[in-house]
Amino acid sequence: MSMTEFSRWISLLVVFSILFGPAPVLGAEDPFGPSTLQARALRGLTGEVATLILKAEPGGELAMEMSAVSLDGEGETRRVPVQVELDGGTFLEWNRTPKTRLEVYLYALGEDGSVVDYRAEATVVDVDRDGEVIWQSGLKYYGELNLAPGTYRLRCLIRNFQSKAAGLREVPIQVPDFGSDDFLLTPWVRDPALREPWLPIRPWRADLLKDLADEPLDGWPEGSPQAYPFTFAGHAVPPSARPVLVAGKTSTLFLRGRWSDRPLALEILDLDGSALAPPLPLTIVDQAVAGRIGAPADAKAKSNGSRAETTEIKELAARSGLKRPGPRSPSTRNLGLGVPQRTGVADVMVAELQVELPDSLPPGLVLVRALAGQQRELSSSTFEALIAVDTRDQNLLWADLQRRDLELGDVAQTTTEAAAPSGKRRRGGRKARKMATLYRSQLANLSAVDNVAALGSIIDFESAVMADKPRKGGALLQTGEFLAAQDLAETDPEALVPLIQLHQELYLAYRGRRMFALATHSRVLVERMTELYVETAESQGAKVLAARVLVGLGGYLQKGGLASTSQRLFRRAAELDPTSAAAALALGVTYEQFGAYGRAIGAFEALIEQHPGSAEGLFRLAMTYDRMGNRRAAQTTLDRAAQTKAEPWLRSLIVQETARRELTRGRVEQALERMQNANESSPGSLIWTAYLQDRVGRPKAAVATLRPLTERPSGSPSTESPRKRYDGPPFAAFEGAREEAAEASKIRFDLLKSLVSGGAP
Amino acid sequence: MTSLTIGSQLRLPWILSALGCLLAVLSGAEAVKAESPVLTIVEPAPGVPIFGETSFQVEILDGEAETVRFLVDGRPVGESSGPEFKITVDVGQDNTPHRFEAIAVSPSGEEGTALLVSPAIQVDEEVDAELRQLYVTVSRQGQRVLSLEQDQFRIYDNGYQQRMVTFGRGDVRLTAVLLIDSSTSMQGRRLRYALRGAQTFLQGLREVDDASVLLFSDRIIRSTPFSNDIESLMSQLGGVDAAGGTALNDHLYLSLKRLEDRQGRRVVVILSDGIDSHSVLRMSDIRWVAERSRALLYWIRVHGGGSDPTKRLSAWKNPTVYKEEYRLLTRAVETSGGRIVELERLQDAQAAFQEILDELREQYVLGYYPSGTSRDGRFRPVEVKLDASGYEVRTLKGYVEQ
Repeated sequence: MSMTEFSRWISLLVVFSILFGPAPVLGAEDPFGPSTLQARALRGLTGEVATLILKAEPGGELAMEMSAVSLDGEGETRRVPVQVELDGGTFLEWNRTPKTRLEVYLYALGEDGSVVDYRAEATVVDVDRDGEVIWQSGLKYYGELNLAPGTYRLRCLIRNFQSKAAGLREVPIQVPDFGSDDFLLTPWVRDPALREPWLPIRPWRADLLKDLADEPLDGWPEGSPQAYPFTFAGHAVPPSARPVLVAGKTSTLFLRGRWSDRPLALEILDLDGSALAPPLPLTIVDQAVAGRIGAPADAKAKSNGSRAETTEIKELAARSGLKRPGPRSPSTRNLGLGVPQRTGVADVMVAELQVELPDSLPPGLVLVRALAGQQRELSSSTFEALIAVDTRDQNLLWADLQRRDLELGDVAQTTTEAAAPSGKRRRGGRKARKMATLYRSQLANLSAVDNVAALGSIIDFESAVMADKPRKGGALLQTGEFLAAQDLAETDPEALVPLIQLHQELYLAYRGRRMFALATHSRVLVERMTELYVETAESQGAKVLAARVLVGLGGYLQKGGLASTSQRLFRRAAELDPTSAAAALALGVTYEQFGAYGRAIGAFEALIEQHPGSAEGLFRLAMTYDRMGNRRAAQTTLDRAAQTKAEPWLRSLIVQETARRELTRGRVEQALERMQNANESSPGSLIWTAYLQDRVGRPKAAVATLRPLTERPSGSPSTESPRKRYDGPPFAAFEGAREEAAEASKIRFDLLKSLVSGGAP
Repeated sequence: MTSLTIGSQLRLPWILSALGCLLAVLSGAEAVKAESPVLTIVEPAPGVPIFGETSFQVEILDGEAETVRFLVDGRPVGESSGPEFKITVDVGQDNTPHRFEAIAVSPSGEEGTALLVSPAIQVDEEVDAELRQLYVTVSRQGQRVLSLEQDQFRIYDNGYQQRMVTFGRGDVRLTAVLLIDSSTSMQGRRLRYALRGAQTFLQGLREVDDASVLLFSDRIIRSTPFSNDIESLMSQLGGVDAAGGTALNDHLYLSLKRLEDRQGRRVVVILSDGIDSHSVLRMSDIRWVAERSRALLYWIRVHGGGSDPTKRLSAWKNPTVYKEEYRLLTRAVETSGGRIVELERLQDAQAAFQEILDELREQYVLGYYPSGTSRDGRFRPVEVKLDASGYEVRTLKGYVEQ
């Protein structure tokens, strides 16, 4: 966006802030909250948002990308799924609050500028909790519009309600009237980061955080809709809003359409529409008859999701003299996306395709479309993609864009720089060497590595580097500090242990200060140094210690929403130390929580094999067998768990579940006997006991059993219930692993000090 | 004594014979043990006389079943292919024993059976009756109506018209539990809005009324005793932070139990999105209690908490269970004679509580002694009809005699 456009936009913001600024603070009697209550100026917001959506130039403070595709179908309108990705870096840069309301306005404007359909929703983002994953992967929004065949402009505004920072994108879209003719929909490239089950659960709306999954889980979580349109071979292949294709490499795309036996090709165009290369043949890797895309979002459900916002939009439309949005789909039939079996007409297909991109493609933004037939009888709409020359860019996350100083549309110089020649050379460049030396000098000042106060100088050092070089500072720190670690490892790998501890503490410190770029830097460094330690120390002891570090770190990541990354760490920890109870438990629990029960059973069985007396392992295994429908194994394992010496919270659950099984068999007396014999006093057990007393006709006894629950003095602390504890990560295992790692670090601290004080090894 | 003597004389040979049979059965059964499904009848409960419509459900304890065939009194009444092997069957109103038989068929064609015989009520069984009161809300074109007279109402209990012995209208003493979800999803302003709503309700109490406030998550966050001293009640709710998971079923049960020995109209007002992740009790358990309770359930159903709450992932419940529990809670509320007040924004909680209080102030109270009552554990449908058209009547839909 040019400065002029940006200024115009800002001017609009300023004008409307003045015209419709927040209402005055109102006094209110409120025994539960602050003594004042601030009212939101809804009309002011309406005007401001209306102007931004309808008139502002694309761009803004929040970097974002959008892609849209019209689906095939019959009736008056088509489903038009839209993917919007928001850059986490700029979001955090413009964020001012620990919890932020993020507004997403998605508009389809007709050729005459009228509003044809829209979605407007608000989401509260917990920045304190999810900041790191937001920084790494940004936010992805999936929404659907219903549009009749025609030409439209789709405009999406994302706005931080508190800071008023916003981003706007516009894409043109042609919604074709396919009829019974052959057709090609816009091809799509799979989002490299989004995997099941982090998929839009509701088919017409999702705002979600992404985390890198290095392996797909076991498919759709139970209850997921089949309406998600981007699926192939039973798995979702969500499109990327900013697809990256690498010059000189093979790229994979997906295509839906009806092209009979025509050969397929991909055309790559410059932004002005001129061809950059002759059409490239597309090879079909796999294809299948497309199933029913799924039921469209019904109007009622759609409006439920955004009633407050749509009220504003209606006002907005009325005030702006715009047409009201057109009628929503009146019936499923009209929007039916099922593919009827036509006699003599080829089926709609979905294909996984590959294309070899020539080396000669220049880096930067291009338009891409699919063609079918020797004479290009069929062609799809174009989509915008980024041509990169570095294979690492294919799976770019937003954070990578920042770390590598890349911007969409301006990658020519930087990607060339990134593709540095390999070969034998001294580790690190001049800048990295200098950074390593500076880092070592900071380490020499350390008095300890296990508390934040002692780490002040490192925090100041790293913060200064980032402030000095906002774009490249992260990469420079990563390279320089890891270089220093490699140097130390060459002298004595054991010196890495306190260094790993140091950066784990730093990770926590940065997260606490919402410095997510440095938090990610520290976390990545911990992981890399741990692998370096295993590689250089070459001992079983090192593997055991590394496993503890990874379990401890993974536990922290779970709190930060990096569930998939933490899962990878747990898996690696279990590989390094197959006897680690903490690693196996953590891995099993992670699988269990994502519904990957088959894998959870594997992890818990491995745990039981090494630690037959693990009450938690046995209980979780029993519950997982139960969910898999293996009642007999569940009962046997539960009986084994009951024989163990379990912690009180776990004992509670074992007894409750044992009694539940008795009740399921109609043995109410036996169930009650189980509870009474256990003499268990957790609130859940008291409630369970009382209920069973009721069932056997002893209501007065039930009342007496419940009395302690409500007679507790008001305000006395209450602790998390056993069932809630079970539902969360195994914090005790994480803590145990961390304590052991911290102990190992302490006894090696002097070694680190002597090495860094003694100059370069 | 006689039977004991005979028994002791017969004991040894009988045991040997039984053991022999058992061994024979076991050895014979070994070949098919792995394939014959083992099942048990979960519903109806054993030992309970059955009348009218009832659920007939089995659970497969071992092995695999492709289909289950259901028979009542020797007649096929249905078939289910799972995953929940359950049908609804009408056994009629005759006071006779019924034979419930289920045959599970494995994919390889092996069959397993389960049998349950329900008893009839003994003719000399003691039957007592106590005054049952129905709280009835009548409205016309959305406006509540309080001008109707006693002779315009007709009460049907278990299909039989009842003689009304008491009639009142307007305000009747009430005792309420305000059950407010205080889990993590209610943090910050959301809980404050909810508490302001509760405050509105409490401010509307009269001297004869009383209430208790129960803030819960996966545990009790705060609980007050029953009182109508609003200042005292509210002072106990300051400084509360929402935290934790949600155990709605457990705390709904607790609320119902707390109301059991209270006088007057018993009311539970739930403010929650209705999604329970951490209860020990299931909603089907609560249904058992709710049908025996005399409490009116009102549910201020909170929306707008983000994505579809029934799609949450928990180690304890999957979306299918969430949906079923949600349905059962909805049914329990409707059966109790209360209703659901949808709340799109928590800022409107005050209006929602006020709406419920207004409704409670404008009800008819009809009293009758149910005819033919017995503690047989079966559900008795209740209906109130009006000798006038154009009115909407809402009251208890049925109950199980305690």
